[in-house]
Amino acid sequence: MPDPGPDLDTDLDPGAAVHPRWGDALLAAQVLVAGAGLIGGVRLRAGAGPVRDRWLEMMRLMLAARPGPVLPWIRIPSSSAAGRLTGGIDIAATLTSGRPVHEKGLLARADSGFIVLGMAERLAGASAAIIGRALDDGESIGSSGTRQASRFSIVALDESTGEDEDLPSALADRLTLDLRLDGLSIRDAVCDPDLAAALARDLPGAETSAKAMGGIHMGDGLLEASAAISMALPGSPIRRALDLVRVARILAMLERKDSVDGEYLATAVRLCLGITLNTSEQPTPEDQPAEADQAQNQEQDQAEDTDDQPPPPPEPPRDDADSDGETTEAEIPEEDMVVAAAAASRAVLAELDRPDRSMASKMARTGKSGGFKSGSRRGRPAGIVSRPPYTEARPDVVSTLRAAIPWQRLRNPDFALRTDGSVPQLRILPSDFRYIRFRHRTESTAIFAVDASGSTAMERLAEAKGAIELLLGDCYVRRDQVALITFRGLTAETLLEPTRSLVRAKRSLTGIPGGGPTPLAGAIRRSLEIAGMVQRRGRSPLIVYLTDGSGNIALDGKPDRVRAREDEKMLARQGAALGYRSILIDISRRPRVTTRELARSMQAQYCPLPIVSASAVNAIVSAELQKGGGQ
Amino acid sequence: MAKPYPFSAIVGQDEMKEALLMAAVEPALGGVLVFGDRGTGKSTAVRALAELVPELAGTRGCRYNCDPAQPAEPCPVCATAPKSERIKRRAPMVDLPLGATEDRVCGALDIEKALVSGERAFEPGLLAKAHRGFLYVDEVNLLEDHLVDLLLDVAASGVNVVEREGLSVRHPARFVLVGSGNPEEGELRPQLLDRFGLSVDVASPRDIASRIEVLKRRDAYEQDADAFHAKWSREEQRLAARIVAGRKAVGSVVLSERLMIMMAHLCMQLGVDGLRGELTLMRAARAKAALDRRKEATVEDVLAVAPMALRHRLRRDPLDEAGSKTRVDRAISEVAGAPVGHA
Repeated sequence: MPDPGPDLDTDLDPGAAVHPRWGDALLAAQVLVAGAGLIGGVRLRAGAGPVRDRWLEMMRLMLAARPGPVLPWIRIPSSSAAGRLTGGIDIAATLTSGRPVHEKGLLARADSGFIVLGMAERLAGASAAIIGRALDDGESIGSSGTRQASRFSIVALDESTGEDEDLPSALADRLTLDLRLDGLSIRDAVCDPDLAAALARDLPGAETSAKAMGGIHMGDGLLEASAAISMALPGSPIRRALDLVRVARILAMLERKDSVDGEYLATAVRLCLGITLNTSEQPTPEDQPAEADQAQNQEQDQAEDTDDQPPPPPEPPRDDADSDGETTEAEIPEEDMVVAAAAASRAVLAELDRPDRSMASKMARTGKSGGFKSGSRRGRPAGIVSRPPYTEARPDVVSTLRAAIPWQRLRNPDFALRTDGSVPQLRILPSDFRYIRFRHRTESTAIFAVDASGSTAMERLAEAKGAIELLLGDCYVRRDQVALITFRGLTAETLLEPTRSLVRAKRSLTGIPGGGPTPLAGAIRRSLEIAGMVQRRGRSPLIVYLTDGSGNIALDGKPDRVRAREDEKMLARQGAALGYRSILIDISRRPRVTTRELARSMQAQYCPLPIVSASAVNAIVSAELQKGGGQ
Repeated sequence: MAKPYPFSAIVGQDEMKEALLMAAVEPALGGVLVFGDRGTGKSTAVRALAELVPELAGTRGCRYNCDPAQPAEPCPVCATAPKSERIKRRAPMVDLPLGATEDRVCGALDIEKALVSGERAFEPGLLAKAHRGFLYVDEVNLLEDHLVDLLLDVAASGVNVVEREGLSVRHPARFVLVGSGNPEEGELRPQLLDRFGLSVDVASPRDIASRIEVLKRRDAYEQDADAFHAKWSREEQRLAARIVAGRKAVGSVVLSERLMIMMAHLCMQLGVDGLRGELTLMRAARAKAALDRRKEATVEDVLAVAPMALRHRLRRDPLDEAGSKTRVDRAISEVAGAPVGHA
């Protein structure tokens, strides 16, 4: 970002011109290194690639160059089992030594350092909950009940594309900084050991950070501003306000100030929320005219909007680094800061309304993905058996040992005689082998595509809504989910992402507009997209169309009945080829042959239902779900 | 672990705090379910509660948290050597992590003993640890189904029975179940919902003044936890004394015939299935009166606890737009004969 922030690094290395966003990224790294174990961590939004690698490398270099002991840096794959996080019995060491050896969990090993979470968007909900708990408590509880100090910060590598994945909210809510590296070119991503050493040189030692932070004063006005900003965010998370306070303090500490001023809070907002506060009244001793700043700003925004857009041109070299350093000296009255915060809250809202963001927050869900493996091995453990439940099944080590251990005395007659400390070999016979049996049940997602065009739209929609709520009302047992698409005018719109929550469904089902032409082709396409997404999550989709079948808008949005029909047929066959189950409920007063043909080409079950009612729709869909659900 | 954030320093959230205090006073109430947004102090409040509850008598080395008067049968310390040293210990506050295995929850074969001496011994799990204390399940709505079933079973019977791997163990496990979660991430199974005595909804404070207060207190706590505790120790002691007094008095709180009839009417009006609603209502009204140091429960007590005791027991009608809270309030005003605000 342009304006007044990234002075910390530039003034340390006045010779090189650093791209402002990279400067911010380095500043974030400094904050993380200085606040290791004190703040939650960073959500690093970037695809895997050299820019991200360079940032991680810079951070490691800074960690190494920082005075004091070397902090742990532990990489955890998103698939690691919950047990590994908190530790347990080290089987290999236990067997060789003959007495139980507890291994430290990954979280405890990262104490006072960093955990790098690869592909954090694939993290399973349970693991996220364990990590979140450790972040809150500063300790983790091992499988044997031992408490281990686990004060760490997280570097969550978020590669989600915003479409159908997001970090589990238990984790996302606790990450302090939000850093986007998308759109930065590799030329801008300077990775230089000398620079890292220069940046890390002045960072306080591990143990002094906490103490130093405590001595930094923060005025009430700034606290109020933080509270106001956090309130403007969707869901008004109060943790964000605390994050802002902490980061502002760390920033002040980095410059060895003893109090926080508005400038630091503005920088904290930029680092934590990715939003630049527009404090136009403030003195800007930079040489660049303000307009240039604005232009740059817009460019930046665009670059963020579309990920694949070429990066903004490198900023003109800033050789006024020294005067930059003074920017922070300029005191901004705290009242102004509050005003700026109020203004910012509008900017915040606008920012968060951007489709990719709002989508992501709508989709914020605990990762259902990642928990399952393909094939017959998936599902939840449903007991331990002594016969392999399927070919190629591998014995479960722990339960096999459990079965074998009670027999060791009998199998090693000299067990008690050994006094020299040598360890008898564990004798395991084939009869000890135990296997975990998994039980798997496909969970279904019913995707409703409801025709909201024409004159009867409102009535039809009301009944569809009723059917959805009825389905959700008793779906807990079957663990089914429901999604809703409506189509009218020129496009199909997803009103309800797949959800099992009645609360959420009610919230998004209020006030649906109706009327206009019928973009049936677009609706089929959108349904297939959602069905694909559902299937990628390991659920089986069921598409339910409620329509009279007379689409009149083609895929490209032009009103052309013939083309529309062709598009519909094409998509219908595509859906059939993909093997999605579907039901077509014909709601026209007089069922037509063309609708029946459409149903045939998508291999859908065809149900004419001239008088739509919530309970009838619910009955049809429930029957179909139950038919296909239990596998 | 640093001392948890003090209970009395939690800003607002009065309903949640009241419900937790009532559960601490009357363990038979059946626990508390706290549903709401993230970052609203759910976990903070639960953790802080354990600090307020009086210490328990116990035996050194006992891993089943036995009451010295009623030692658990499988406990090697209390049952076989009754002359062991008596100690005071904190009421346990056990976290049930989402990833916990069934072994860890209900106990399993002690691998340590088995490896070292070839002895087949039982290692008690989290349920034994939570005996006479609190079992806290964060994100209870995301808990695996088979664990939910297990919890339900033990919470209802107060006994944990383990029959596996050639072990046959039963030990008492009476605890106050406290669950929290965010309903937008998934609903809770109705059977489990009904098992909780009280249910409260929390939301983050919507007015700027209390948010700032939250921020200031939290900030002060993070800067210097000890000083913060010193500042709040008076309030904490007062609350702890209230719990102790409440526990003593709760058994003797008088509940008039008239109130009983009113409760029954209330439950009938709302169509609550089974008798658990009435029972909870009765116990909650007693706990509330005992907490407020009164010898007899009043109409106000019943009306104050009715929303949290009943709102999660209503038969769910997906097509009724009115929230369950409004339905309870409506029924209250009908039964009480006058419009009553919800406390």
